[in-house]
Amino acid sequence: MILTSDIKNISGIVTVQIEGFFTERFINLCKINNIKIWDVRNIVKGIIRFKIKIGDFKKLRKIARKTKCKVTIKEKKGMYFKLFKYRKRKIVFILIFLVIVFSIFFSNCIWNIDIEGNNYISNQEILEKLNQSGIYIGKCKIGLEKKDIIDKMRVEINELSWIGIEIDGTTAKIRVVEKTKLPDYANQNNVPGDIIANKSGVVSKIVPENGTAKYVEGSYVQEGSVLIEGAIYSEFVDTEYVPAKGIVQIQSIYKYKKEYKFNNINKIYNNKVKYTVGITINSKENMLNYLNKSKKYDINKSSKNINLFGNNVSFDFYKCKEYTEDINILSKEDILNISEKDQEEYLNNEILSKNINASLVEKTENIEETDDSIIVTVDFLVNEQIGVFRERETNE
Amino acid sequence: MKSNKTKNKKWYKEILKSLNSKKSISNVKDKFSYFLELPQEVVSKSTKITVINNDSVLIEGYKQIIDYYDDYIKIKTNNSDIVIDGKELDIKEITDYDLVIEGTIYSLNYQK
Repeated sequence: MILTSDIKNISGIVTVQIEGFFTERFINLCKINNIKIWDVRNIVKGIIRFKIKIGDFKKLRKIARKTKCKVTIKEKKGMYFKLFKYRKRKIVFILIFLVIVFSIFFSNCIWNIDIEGNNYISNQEILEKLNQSGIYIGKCKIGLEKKDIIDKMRVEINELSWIGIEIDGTTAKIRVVEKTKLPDYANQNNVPGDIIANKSGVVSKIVPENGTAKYVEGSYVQEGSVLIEGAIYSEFVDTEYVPAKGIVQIQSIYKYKKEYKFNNINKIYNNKVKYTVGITINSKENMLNYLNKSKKYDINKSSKNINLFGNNVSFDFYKCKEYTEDINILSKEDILNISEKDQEEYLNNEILSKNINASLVEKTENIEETDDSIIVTVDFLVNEQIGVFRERETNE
Repeated sequence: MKSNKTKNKKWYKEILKSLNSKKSISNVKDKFSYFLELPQEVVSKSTKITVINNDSVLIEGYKQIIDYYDDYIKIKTNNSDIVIDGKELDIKEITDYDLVIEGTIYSLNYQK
């Protein structure tokens, strides 16, 4: 902080004391002669102190003579005085010069490498390749050929699709964009083989990229049948066996059925548990029953079987949780609302998320009302992508 | 023609009226600044005093310092003298036009 204040007052500031009868006149003359003074303090009548720049100090002589005041310097502040003090010590100036030179030199070097945008390529690997390409900690940033380094990096690391280098001060900011890895099902197979249907349905789209399509749009395919055969037939040349590739979409029906009761019985457990024992001989159960008949229990049985003289005997341990029944009566509208939510949940969680590129085509809802319940049956007609690659067993 | 003349007369009269609206303003410069709604201290050589709490006074447009003591400062302005009474009064800043006084201020008086 002392150093910063010294740098701030690099030109040098002097605190001056004026003694005389006409101190006010002195101040007024300073104002008239454009001498900037500040922090004027009256010590006693006839003695004032103020601050002034060292450059203006000589101008005070004329005013002091005019006002017959005595001028004394009380304090000197600033870099100017310190440098003046050490003017004969050459080593100080040499050190200052060296500090300036070194700071300029080191500010032109790279001291930090910041890598962003990498997910599966490790920082270590990128740093190693950067080192080989010409960016490392301590490297001078003047004359750095960014284009060459970028080209080298792209050759060295195949997974990179783009790389950008930006030098910000002493930090080299490396931005990378990695190549998107294809999912397993999209990987190209090199071994000849077919694409087999893993589901049954009506073909809605078939695009063979490699191989021969065995079905046309609108035809029904059975699970396990060949959709795209990994062979190219020609009249002029021999049949060529290739790894089959293509997109096959089918429309299939998913059934959803659920029964909703008007009276829903909810069990409310009241944390009362009773334990009892029993014995079962040849599937005839005898339990030591001391449960309250007016109350309802949820019974969990754990038993140990032994064979005694050809009879199956098991010793049972019963855990009886007491509960009360809470009957919740639902209207038809409530049930339909609940059913709607359940259907949506089933569609999203069981159909759309578990199949490839699945989309809903049509939904057929059937509501059957009985005395105590409503049975909701829904058929979802879904368009989805199917097909798994299977290697050809023998090349014919 | 008559109507035009009367209109011109009215326009002139309106300016006169606005110039004479405040009888207390005697100076031409003041009248002008009043008419154009300019700040008075900008046009005429008047003094502006800004007092912040009782510890800082900014005087804009002063002429010279007449007396300067620890507890009393007398400053000459264009129209009158300003006397500041207080304790430990320092002149924090002094320029050609402004004067900042800091310290504990008890009173600020005008003297003719």
